[in-house]
Amino acid sequence: MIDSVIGPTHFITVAALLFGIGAAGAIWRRNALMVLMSIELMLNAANIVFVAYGRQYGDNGSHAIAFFVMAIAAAEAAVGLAILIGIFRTRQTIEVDELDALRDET
Amino acid sequence: MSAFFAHSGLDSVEGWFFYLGAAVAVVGALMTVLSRSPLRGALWLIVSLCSVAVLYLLLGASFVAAMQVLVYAGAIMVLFIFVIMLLNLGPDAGVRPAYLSVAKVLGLGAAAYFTFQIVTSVSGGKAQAVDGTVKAVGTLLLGNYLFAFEAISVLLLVAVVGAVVLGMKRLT
Amino acid sequence: MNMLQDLGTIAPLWIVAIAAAVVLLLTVTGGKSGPAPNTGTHLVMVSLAALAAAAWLLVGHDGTKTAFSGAIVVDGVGVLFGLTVIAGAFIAIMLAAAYLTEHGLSQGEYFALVLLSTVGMMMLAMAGDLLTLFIGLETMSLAVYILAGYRRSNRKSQEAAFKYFVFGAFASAFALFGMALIYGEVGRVSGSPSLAFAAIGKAYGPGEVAAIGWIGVALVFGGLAFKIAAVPFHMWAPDVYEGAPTPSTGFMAVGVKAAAFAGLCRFVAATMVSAEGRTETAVLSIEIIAIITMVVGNLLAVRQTQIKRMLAYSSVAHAGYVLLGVAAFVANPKPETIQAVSYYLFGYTAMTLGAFGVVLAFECQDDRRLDLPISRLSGIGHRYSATALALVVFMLALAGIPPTAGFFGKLAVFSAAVDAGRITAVIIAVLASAVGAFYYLRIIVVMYMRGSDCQEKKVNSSWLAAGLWACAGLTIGVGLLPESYLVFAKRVLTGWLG
Repeated sequence: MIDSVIGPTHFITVAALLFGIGAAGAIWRRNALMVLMSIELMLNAANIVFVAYGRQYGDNGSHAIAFFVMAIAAAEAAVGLAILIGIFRTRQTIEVDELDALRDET
Repeated sequence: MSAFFAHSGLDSVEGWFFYLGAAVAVVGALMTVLSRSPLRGALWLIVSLCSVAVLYLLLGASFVAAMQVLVYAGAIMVLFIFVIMLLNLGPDAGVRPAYLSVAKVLGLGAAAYFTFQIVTSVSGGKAQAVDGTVKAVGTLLLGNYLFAFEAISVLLLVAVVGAVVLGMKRLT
Repeated sequence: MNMLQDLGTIAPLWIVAIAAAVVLLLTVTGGKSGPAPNTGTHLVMVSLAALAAAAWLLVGHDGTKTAFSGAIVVDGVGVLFGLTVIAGAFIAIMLAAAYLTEHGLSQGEYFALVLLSTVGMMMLAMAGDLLTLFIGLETMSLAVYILAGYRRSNRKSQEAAFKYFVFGAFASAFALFGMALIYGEVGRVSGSPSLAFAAIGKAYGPGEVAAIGWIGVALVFGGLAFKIAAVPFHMWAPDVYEGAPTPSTGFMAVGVKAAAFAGLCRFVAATMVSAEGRTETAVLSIEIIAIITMVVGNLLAVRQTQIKRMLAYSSVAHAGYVLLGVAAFVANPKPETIQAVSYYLFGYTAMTLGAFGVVLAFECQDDRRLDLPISRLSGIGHRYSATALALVVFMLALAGIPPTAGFFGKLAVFSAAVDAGRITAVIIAVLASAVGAFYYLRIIVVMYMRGSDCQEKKVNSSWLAAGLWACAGLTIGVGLLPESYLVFAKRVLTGWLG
């Protein structure tokens, strides 16, 4: 046991802030690239929570989990950017609001 | 006053590093989301991700910190910047105008509130020694987490096939 | 840890994954310009053979086996839902073979992605911890996003892929954050944090879990509810279903849903079933989501004029019925309820893929079009009697009319809910399915009652015909002989939940 003035709660609060900022960005940004970056921010925040709890309870496994999440984030970014490039090729824009070919008839 | 420093951890090197890393991470994230140009946003995101690596170091996760810089701030963000350059994106309208002022107020307000909470009321706790070296984590990856390690390769294969299928000019 | 034994346990997973790699290699080595669209039979054969082998291994599976330090659990849930997703992939590949040939799209990558996605789905169904569940979820989803955008020069297909991706990635981020909270909460309660379902069950059982642990549960539940298109996480479904190439739509409608329900069953079994004092709240929350889902899905489906959008809302409604089964399982945890849920999803797989197969048969003639207005089905009953008859079977099954799988599925799920004492919810569900019957039967009316001046051309492909026959056979066969399925399900579920 190590006594520490900076405890896991500190880190988890920071993670919650980053997650909230990321979620707000994903909802409010109109540029698709910014939406993807905001989602990266959210995954990153989840990673901090894992590592912080791992530290609190002495579990190394959280480091392995964080590593896997990074790999998943990388794969997700690759696929997302590939989809985005395809959209840009046909529409010359990646504004989310311009994507309106599919919608309910009213 | 000294009680305040002791409580908030500002009397230790660790405390200063935490507050510095956390502040830069949060400000970087805010700037990412609020900047009009995607390129600026991406650069701010790199700043934020690198400061998170500092937080990982404070948590004793040196392997994760290295991966954070190499994979996240390195590989993934280079991919983003590459695409921004490829598409030649200029500044856009940014956040929906109606939300912009609300977002700024809410974002800064929340950040200030949480900072106040952290500094004044969150107390430190017990932490346990974790071995975050490459050797320790590597042993785990090929031990308890072997299945996830193998399954990730399937996921990466999907991403490779997907990038080729969606990105290639002509498929047939 | 015996590595060979572990590899034997997960054989269905790696057989399908290796088949995907083989299909990719065959595509790359198939000559400079890749295989011509019509010479892909060997690719179909390799894919189907691998899926059949995996299914055969699962059918012969006995008892509960864990592998790789508990990351994978092959038990009744894994076998039943694994077989369902394999059946979905099997038929989807047959349908896709016809579609891809018609549109001159490359087959190899498509089949490889379907197979890899199936591996992800099986991981979800056999997950022993939340990490495996998340990796399976992501593998499945990433492959399906790509399949949705497979017609990459088509604006609608691109848009479908993008919408699915953004909403999906957003939902996964929430689910991951929830998992992190659960990880910490398990650590707080038991002293050692863990993502394994066994450890989560032990920690959540005694009712010592704090609010933050339940927030984690809600976030993970939300992430899975997104995949099954439960209201209020359904808004992506109609757009994505309409824009995606029809075989992809069929595959995602059945496979993703079945796999996500498998994950959901495991997740609620670990967190809610044994949780003292919280069970009633959990049941009520799931039940409310289920009721809203079936009502909203059915009401919005009535208004649709495009058949793919109608089927999208119909799939939302069906998610509601199955969710009612999940609520019944939390209220009254018996293996029979899981049996009913898996039976429903198995029948749903056959009838939904069949319906999308018929859509595919008629929409192919126009390369730009990705959907089929219901009005254009008018008169096909007179001109293409066999295909029309198949569609009648699928519509009756979706409406829940005997003697199809749809009827017995609903019967099984609803009686499980009655057993658990959720009478009000069952009454609402029955009323909702009566509304649903209206729009399914309308299609039959359009096919037969309106004029016989049918202009539609039909795609002729032996793969398509085989796929449709398989769907119709399963829909009626599973409906006529529910006993044989239930006996099998009972055998593999023996000993589940202790």
